[in-house]
Amino acid sequence: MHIPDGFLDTKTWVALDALAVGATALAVGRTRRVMGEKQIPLLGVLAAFIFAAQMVNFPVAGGTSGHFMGAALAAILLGPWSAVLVMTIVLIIQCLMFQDGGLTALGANMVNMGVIGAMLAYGLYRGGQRILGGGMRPRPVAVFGAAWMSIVLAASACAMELAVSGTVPIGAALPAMAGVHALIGIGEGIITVLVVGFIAQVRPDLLELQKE
Amino acid sequence: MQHGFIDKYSDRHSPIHSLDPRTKLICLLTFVVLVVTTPNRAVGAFGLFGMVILLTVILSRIPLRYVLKRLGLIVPFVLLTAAFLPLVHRPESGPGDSLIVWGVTIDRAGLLLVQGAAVKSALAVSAMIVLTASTRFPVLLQGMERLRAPKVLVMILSFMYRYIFVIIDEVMRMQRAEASRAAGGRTWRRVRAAGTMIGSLFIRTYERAERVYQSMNSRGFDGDICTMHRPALSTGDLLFVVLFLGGTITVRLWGAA
Repeated sequence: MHIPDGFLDTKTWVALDALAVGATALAVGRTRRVMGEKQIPLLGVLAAFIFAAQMVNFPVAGGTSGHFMGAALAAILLGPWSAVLVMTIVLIIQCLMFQDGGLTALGANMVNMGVIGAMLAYGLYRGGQRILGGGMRPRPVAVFGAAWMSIVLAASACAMELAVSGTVPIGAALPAMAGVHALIGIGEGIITVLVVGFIAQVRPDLLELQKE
Repeated sequence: MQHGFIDKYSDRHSPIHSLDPRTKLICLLTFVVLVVTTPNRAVGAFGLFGMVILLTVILSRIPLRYVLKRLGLIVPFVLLTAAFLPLVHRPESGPGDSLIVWGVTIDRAGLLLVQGAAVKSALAVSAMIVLTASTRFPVLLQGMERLRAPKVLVMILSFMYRYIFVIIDEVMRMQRAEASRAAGGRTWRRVRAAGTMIGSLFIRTYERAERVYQSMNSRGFDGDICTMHRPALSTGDLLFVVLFLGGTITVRLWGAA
């Protein structure tokens, strides 16, 4: 889902880069207000966690394996603003050091996986919790829904950006991307439910971290 | 401990390795923007951009095979956009503007677009490889900081770099422990094991982050990090910037003409 350089036209990548810069600046300010100077070591180490967690493979149907994106997990564990920042850091490293995603397309990838992936997932999670009435105890349905939607929405945003750039036709690309990622999202959802469930059992206090 | 997977080859010596990180960052950014904004039909310009990158790869003594291997990353994206080619039909293109490949009608304009995207992304990826394979990561961060990148981001990045090896070691320990106790098993068991592993990784990481913060605090951390090392611009940097930017900007202007 990481868009490389050259696949977006100039107006699209410039607009998305500007949006990503704005969102990151906002996220830096919000997390600093909550965490103070603790922000730096905490978010740095947790970004390393998301990066390492993406290395854990899990089996998917048909003998293939997948790894997860972690945006929804980060949002549920850390709150939306910290999650945006952590995903931004992970994407910067993936772009610069692993050439996964382009430099001009960095803003697009940050918007898709950070802002849309984490922010919207958090909103869905909170909304689900309120409807299901779980209080602080995470409800599997809300966690699964948030994680699944984070993948599908990020993929749909990616398809739309490519379509706006004229690289792919929207009528075919959007259903194709959303459809494939609706399947991938199931894996993401299951893993996120298991991880959040495990943490709720072992260290429930960590789910009540200071969130904005 | 697993070392060196993140900035491979950056410990070598070459004219490119000894450039100031700021020089390389500015050249990379300019290069990528120039390449991405070049019109797709300017095939000659892309050829010359490719020559420039090949020259820097040779100068930096990074194995060409490593660069080519990394280029494989963009293949899925090229295939993805190419798969939609038969579906793109621009109203303005007449019958002469399309070609037939394996019985499928393809719009010439659409083909040019995908071809352009593939070439541009390959050039950008190669340029990024030269930067990161010739610059140690902490030095790269210093360069970013001195170019006025937001300090908070640079510091979070440096913490991530410091702890990524520790945490990947932790993951590998867990995977080894899991493999030695329960080989294989049904899919569901393995999925649950992955979930539990990521969960306990989070807890261990969080506790580690707390300890790190406490020990930094007790040593007087106030949100700022001081370093002794100061990179300096040399005449070599100046020469490289002038040649590189002069060359690539000329190619870009020529390509647009």
